[in-house]
Amino acid sequence: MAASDHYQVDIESVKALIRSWQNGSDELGAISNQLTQIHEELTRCVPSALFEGALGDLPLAASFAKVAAAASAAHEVAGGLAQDTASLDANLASYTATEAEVEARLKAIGNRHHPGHGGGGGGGGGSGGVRPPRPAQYANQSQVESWINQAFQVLEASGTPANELDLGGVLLIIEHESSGNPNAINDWDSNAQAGDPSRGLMQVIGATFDAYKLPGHEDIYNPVDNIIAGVRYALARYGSIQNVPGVRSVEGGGSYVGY
Amino acid sequence: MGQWGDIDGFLRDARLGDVARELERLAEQANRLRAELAATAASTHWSGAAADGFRARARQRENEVAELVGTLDSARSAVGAAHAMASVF
Repeated sequence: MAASDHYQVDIESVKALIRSWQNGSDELGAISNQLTQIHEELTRCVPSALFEGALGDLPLAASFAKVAAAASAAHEVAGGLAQDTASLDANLASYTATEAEVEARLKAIGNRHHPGHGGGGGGGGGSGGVRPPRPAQYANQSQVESWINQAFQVLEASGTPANELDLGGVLLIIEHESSGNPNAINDWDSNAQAGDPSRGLMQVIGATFDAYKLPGHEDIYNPVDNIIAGVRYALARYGSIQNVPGVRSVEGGGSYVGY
Repeated sequence: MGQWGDIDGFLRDARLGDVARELERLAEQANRLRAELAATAASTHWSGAAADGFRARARQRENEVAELVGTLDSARSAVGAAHAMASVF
């Protein structure tokens, strides 16, 4: 069973998306070049000096300007799509790396349950397939739970009351924010445009991470460090994990909203 | 004849009618591309904040390409009008 069977990112469809975006960029680049050529030919054949003279009544200048505007618009959109493609590539690489890591971990769990290839082992009634330890909403949920528990230990040690640390709520936030990918990065929202993209398991921006991180836990892509800062931020802003808008909405039967 | 003959030559060389048709073809190509990008974005199985962010960006790109189609249409109309007036000369 491939990890992607449970994962919230279908790698193949993201690859198709990247190909489509790349084709779009190439095609619009070609359209822009054609328009530039057309504009150059027009201005070469009908010198602008004539617009004011004998051809003054013809809307040539306006129509030529519109061709130039279309060339420039096509060029700009082509550049935008190329930029998106680069961001999508980066996301795909991080998802693929996480996927490989999860596969390896699941395999290790399977090997522990079925040691060796010939030596006994069969008592568990296993088909030998690799299975997550229990039904998971995404491939590395058990790994994410372990990261959350590690973060909770650090938070408790630093003074956060244990009753404020809600495993289910934090899992839900992580599931929706990053699908359990500690390397997730959002390159498209207003934070990214401002140069501070949301990153990591709980998708915190750098400024928030810096404000809520704990000493010794200062790597935004480290899953435990990211959870520590994300939980401290959520508690400071909303009073409890249950009060985080996305958690409240899902528990009330609605859909998740960002925090 | 002199000056009018030159102008007629300029306009013939500019092939305004061909240019109008070419602009129409490019507008159609861009419009097809817009639909393809939108369809691919909608059929991508991807969830989470990064995916939501991308979907917003995809909608923005779709609007930008739609605007480009509008600009191409407007250029085609303008060149077509110039061509129609030039053929009266």
